Amino acid sequence: MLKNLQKKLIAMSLVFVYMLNQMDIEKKAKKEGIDLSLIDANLELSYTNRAILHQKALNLVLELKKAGSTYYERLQNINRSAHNKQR
Amino acid sequence: MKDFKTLIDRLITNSVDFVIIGGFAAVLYGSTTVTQDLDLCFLFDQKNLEKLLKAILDLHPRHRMIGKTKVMDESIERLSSFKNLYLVTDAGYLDLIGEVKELGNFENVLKHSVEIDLFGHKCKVLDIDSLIKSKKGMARNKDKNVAVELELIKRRLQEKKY
Repeated sequence: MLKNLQKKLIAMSLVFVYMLNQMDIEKKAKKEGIDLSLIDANLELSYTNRAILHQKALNLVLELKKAGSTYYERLQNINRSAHNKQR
Repeated sequence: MKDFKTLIDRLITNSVDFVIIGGFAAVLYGSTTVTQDLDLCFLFDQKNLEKLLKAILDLHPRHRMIGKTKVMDESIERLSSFKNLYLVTDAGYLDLIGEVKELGNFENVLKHSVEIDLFGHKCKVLDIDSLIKSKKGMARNKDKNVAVELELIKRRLQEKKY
């Protein structure tokens, strides 16, 4: 009887540790600013569709990067010509 | 232009031996990260290098870290002496890694890989546990965040929500 009780206690504590661990992962993810709904949406997709979605996101990132450096260059040219006028 | 599909299609069609690792492997598992390079664990033997060169020949592969020299200008013997190859091609960055930290060489990585359906091909990807292990072993915060995402994904998969 004592052995059975011991076994039950061990099983219960294992479940408890597992649950704590799982709660930790979700908490950690939220703390790091990870959007859980985006992950859930990705998990609904096939591997190929995840890759296609990633490609679209990458294309957007590269476009934004390009636009950013064009804007920065233009800004630098404006500043340079304003500086030259002042001299 | 960065196009992972073009690179993967060509490598598989030419029977190149590789395992997808790194950020793109995380993406395939459902991570929200965006990565610019395709990291592959690669078998650095002459036969595999010949298949690789045939696959990406017209994508003009150049070394990314050694003065953008053309890969085609080098002998297979010299290429097989590299531990890693960091290439830039017309379809994007291609990083070929001979050994993965925490896991070892290609043979070991292959043992820790799973086969998935990608772009209509059967393709080998590092399993999620090994990917978590390798991401945790990296120093960058970006990689540690991906490890957290992957742990969460693993949990969702264990709960069989998907």
